[in-house]
Amino acid sequence: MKRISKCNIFIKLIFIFMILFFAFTLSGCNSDYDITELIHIAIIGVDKGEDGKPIITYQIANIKSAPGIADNEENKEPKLNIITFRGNTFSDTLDALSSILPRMPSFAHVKAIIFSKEFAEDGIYSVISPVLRHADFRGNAYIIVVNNGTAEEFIKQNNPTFEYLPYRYIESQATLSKYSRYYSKATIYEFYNRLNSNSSSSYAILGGINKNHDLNNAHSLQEGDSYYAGEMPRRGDTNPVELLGTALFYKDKYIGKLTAEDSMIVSVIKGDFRKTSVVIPDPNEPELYVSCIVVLKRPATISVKMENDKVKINVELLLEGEAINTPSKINYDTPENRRQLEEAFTEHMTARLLKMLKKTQEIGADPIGLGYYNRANYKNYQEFAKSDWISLYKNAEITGKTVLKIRSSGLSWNKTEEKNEVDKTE
Amino acid sequence: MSTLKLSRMGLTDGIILIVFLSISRFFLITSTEAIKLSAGLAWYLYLISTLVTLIIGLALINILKNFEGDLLAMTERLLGKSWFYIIGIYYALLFLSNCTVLTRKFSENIAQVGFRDIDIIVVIFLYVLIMSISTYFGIEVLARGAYLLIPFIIFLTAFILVLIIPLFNVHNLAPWQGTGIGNVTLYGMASAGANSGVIIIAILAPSFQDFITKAKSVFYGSIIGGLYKMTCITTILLAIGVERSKEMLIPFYELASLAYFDKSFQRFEDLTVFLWIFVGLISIGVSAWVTLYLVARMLKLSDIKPLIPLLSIIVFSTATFAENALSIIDFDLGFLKIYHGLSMYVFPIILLFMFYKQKLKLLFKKNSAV
Amino acid sequence: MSQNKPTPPRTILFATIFSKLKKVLTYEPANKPKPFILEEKMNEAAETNIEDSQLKPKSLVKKTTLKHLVSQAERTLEYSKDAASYLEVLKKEIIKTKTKEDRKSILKKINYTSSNLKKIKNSITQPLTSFDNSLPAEKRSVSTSLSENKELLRNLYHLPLNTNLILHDFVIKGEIPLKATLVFFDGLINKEIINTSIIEPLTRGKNTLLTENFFPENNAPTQAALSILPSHITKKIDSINDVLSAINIGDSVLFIENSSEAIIVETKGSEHRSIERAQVEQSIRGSQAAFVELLDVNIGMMRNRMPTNDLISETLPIGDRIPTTCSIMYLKSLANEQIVAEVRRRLQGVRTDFVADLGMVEQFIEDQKTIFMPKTLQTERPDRVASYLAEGRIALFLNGSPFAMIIPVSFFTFFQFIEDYSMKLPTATFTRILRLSGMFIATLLPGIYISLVYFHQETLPTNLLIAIVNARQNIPFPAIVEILIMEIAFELIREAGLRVPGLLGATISIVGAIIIGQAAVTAKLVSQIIVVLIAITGLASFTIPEYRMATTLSLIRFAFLFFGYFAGFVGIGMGLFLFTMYLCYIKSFGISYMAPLGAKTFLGSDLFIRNPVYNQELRPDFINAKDKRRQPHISRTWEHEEPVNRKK
Repeated sequence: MKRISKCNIFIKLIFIFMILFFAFTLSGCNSDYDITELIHIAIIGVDKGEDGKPIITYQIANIKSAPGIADNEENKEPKLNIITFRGNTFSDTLDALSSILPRMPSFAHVKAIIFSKEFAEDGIYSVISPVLRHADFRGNAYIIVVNNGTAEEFIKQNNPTFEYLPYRYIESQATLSKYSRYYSKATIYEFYNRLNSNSSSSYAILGGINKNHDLNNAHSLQEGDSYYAGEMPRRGDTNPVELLGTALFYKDKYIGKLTAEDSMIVSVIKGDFRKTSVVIPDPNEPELYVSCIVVLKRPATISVKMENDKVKINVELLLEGEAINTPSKINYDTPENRRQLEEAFTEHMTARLLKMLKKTQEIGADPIGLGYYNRANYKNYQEFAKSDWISLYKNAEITGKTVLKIRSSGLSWNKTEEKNEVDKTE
Repeated sequence: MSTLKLSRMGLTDGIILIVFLSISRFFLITSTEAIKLSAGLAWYLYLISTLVTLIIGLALINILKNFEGDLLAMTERLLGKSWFYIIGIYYALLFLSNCTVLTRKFSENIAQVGFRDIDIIVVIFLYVLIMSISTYFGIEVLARGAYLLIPFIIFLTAFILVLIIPLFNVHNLAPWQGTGIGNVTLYGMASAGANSGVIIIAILAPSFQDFITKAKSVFYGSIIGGLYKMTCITTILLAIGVERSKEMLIPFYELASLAYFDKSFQRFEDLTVFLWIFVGLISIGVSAWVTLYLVARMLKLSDIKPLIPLLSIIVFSTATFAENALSIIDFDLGFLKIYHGLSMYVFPIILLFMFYKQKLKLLFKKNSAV
Repeated sequence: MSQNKPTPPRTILFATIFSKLKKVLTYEPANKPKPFILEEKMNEAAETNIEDSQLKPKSLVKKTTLKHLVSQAERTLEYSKDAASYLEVLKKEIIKTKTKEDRKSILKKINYTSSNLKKIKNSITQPLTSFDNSLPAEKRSVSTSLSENKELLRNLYHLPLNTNLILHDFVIKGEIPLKATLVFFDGLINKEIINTSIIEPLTRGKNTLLTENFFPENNAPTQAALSILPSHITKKIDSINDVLSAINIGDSVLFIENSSEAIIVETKGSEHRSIERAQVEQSIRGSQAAFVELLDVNIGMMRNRMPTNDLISETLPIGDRIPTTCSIMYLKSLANEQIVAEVRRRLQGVRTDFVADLGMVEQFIEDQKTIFMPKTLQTERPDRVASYLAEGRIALFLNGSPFAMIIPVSFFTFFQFIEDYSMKLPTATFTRILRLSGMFIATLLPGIYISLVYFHQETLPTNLLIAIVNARQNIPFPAIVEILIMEIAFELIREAGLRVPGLLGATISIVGAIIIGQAAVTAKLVSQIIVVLIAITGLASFTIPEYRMATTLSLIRFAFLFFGYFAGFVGIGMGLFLFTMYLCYIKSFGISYMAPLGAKTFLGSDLFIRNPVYNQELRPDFINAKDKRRQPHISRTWEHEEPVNRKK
């Protein structure tokens, strides 16, 4: 037995190695899927059928036609495949999808979930919660409500000119909302967060299919009743689908929408984006328009006070103007003229601000999140849990002010003669 | 019959052990529970529990310096031989339950997150296997390895927390008093039991050099663990808010899913798998080793290695006992409150009481003799 | 008796399985001696009395039995009695001779007798006349009879077979000429020294000492010879063992008739490779010399580099049948006495026939023999050895190996290189961090790729994911097989590159690159991403300065690959955990392998960030050198004085 005791250590090692080996081979192998066995769903669209059951559209990334492949032949494959199902719940349609596809569907790269307005009015919780609980799914997908049309049409018409793949369009658009500011970035995670918080309302991006090519009755986005998605008059070679405005929700039901301009003010107040341009009629010559590029340098000063169940909200914005454009020949560099211009801007913008806030009050939703400022007014959490912010908001007293200070005007005005000679000095 | 020999451990080892044992439960359900109890003041809850741990730990070690040997030897001197066994069995069961519950809960989290669909028994088996290997190595190796792994853990946590900063909303912490400061203080004191890892320093007292090392390791260990928990819980609150975080099953994972840097650099939640594996395996290994050490100490065995397969089988079969995830959560919360609370409060206070009574008696005798 | 009936195989199988299971399931704590652990507090005045007991080579000559000697002595005695009586008879007859014929017949008889005597002399093995002739050959002392010494050496060296040993007989000139023999190995000696310094003065010089009156002194011939020889190293010895050792290493031994002492003359002069550039460890700004195979030259290079009396080089022979000289070098005022004593003890406890390489010595003296990470550093540069000795470590040399072995080392020492010493803080730190990240990349990258592709697809950016899927559409193998193919191909190229003769080297590398890189991708055997991945991994593994560490990490890379394949990030996390525990478990010569991080000691300024040279004041703590401080606090004292042109 001496011989055996000498190689004891190796036997022990072999035992341990075998146990480890079998442990590992039996374990994860069951649950891995090769990367070529998965199909990635890019966009999900939800519509309402005749009897209230959902109609779900899936847009799938067709891997045959992806960028970065050295393919010699012309790519004749469609870029993405669109499949539509109808079922009792969301999971039914998912089963149907799995049965057709040769691979397993994966929710890991879903970019957007698109709802039609009719479906959203009934409440979208039934779709959001299973998606959210799905292990694959990450909450960074965007949520879009279609203003005019069904989600299926929206998906089908989505044909971007600057992006190779349609879902990239949505992703880039939504991500770059700080550059194109007429809607706020709305992810499903944020939606779900705000759903149950007693301090704000959920919102979604408003999308639409553009059918309006009549440029004759067009007006600027900032004038009068601004546009909702799908209504902006334009023509040309661009994506028929557009994202403008915000859809407002109460809990999970759709209750109203905000125009492009209102959404812009919402994002300015939230501090999500900083730079905009403001156009007002020239105070001295009402036919012409003065425009100014303004920047939000400081976050908005918001104060919410509560007295005897009545809430008083005060919103103050300080914008700084960086460049003005005055087609009229009046010199706005002089202190009086500048003050006049500033007052005109202030008045205009304050009016717009208050209009937007009143509108949200009427609709009964608080996309800005003013309720968060109200939380500090409660003594402790139990009292806070008893209150209801939306009803308080509807009866709140809102005052607001937007002050615009012109810091520089781009070009300095230097007029040498009364005739139209302008000496430009920077 | 030779008794078990301990090798020397230093200041860093002590700190690391306490840190890992106190943050291990944080990644499981206790953070959600803390938010449920105290709304915006969850950080204050952790502060109170850390302070309580600190006070009790330092007091224990202070009276330990008058005795040679560890906690069990001191109990024997102060209270008698039967208490030696009572406290030994009590703490052995404490660490054994810690080991089992942590195994089960970490395996559940990993099974849900790391794999697509896998039977939980396989993950428990893997955990138990690695637990037995690390128990074989011993606690010094575990402490050293933990010290090497701490930069990874801190780096991962800091990475995720920094990326969440754009989502902060200060008003999520309001109402400022949470559920009431007095309430939160009471909850904090009740939940100090989760930090009962501090007793390890008293159990392994002979392997530390002197009183100052032990005191410093308790001090720094509790503070670092407490700071970590406070930072993480504040970040969770600031980013997610009270209402939503009450529903989270795996808080850190959902926090990590919010981290967003760029279009092409956005999904980091799978990196938290590393966090759980490191913290989980180290805590489970340390708990298992301390259990075996206490058993060996009570029965005067010379080595703990023969007991390892037995312990693995016990832990494995107990961990698969619970039927579903929720029942184990309920069990753990109740267990923490009562059993750990007893271990954290009652026994140390009994020991302190007996010690000072003896000292008072001596003083009285001396005075009366004069 | 059942010795004819063999046990059936099933019984043997059952018995072995049963005993194996029993050994695994029932555990007995092994009754091993305590492991060597270095104590923290050092006794300053610890002087250990260790006697250097040298190993003696086993005896090669059969012992002659006493009986045989007695019989030979009796026979010689008998014959000499016969010869004496016969000579008496002859003497009487010579006195009686008168005529020439009688003288002729007496001459014939004398010739006949002398030839008989010669025959008998040749048939009798010469009885050995020294007083310890019952001992085995090596333990004896030099005998006064020159022929006996020569016979002994002929036996020991198996002389007709061994053609290299030269026994050069000559006569020392003098009034009374003495016979002498010079013994040396042809090939190990410097012929010039032998001819000009030994033989010429002895045979041609004026020797006035060897007079009749000189003889009563003990070993007078030796004294005389010593006074003549101009060689600078001569030593008198009187044991055969010393003679053997001296001859074996290249010295010559001079035996003189009627002297019981022999003289060793230093004549080493074998051919050896000259000092060349370092082949394996090349540096841009360090010195370019490397060690050679001869131990003396290496020790000479070290002494040249560190000219101090503190530098100690002990020599020990290792190997029973064929002793190879091994040398331990350390600085006496710095190195920890306990480590030195332990190294010495381990080297003396090595029992083997022949030690072929320094790597074998390492495997004999390391502790925890089943662990495959390298626990000593091997280097071929004397400047590196010098800097490690100055830190308080110990160096081991072996005759015949152009490498030196440094003990004790920790894991982080493998990532330091001589370049760091000549660069300033930012560049040195950057290079060091690059090497460490090279280690991580070399170990983990394929595993992480596999786990991303199989388990965690959502972590990849969408575009990259689609690119990978597209690239893998037409590949017939699953991802794991692809990576294994490329890995094995890479390892084959690397191993083949070592053996390819120099002329073909460039061709093979081009062929390898073209075949593996381009053709495999175009033939859709592997995808382009994998090629890039494996190339980066291979490059990263070459940044590690120590070759053995790089090969060990290659093995571990395969392990992580499988962990990642079976369990994704979970597997890699568990693998990292196990690997870290394993590293912390290793102890080498009393210090923990991951010191100064694993077992936390004072960090010192040389771990990740290389402080400027003038800030490195303390030695690494875990070595426990005798003196912790290597520089005073202010190393650049000139900064605190006035410059030259401002002094009044």
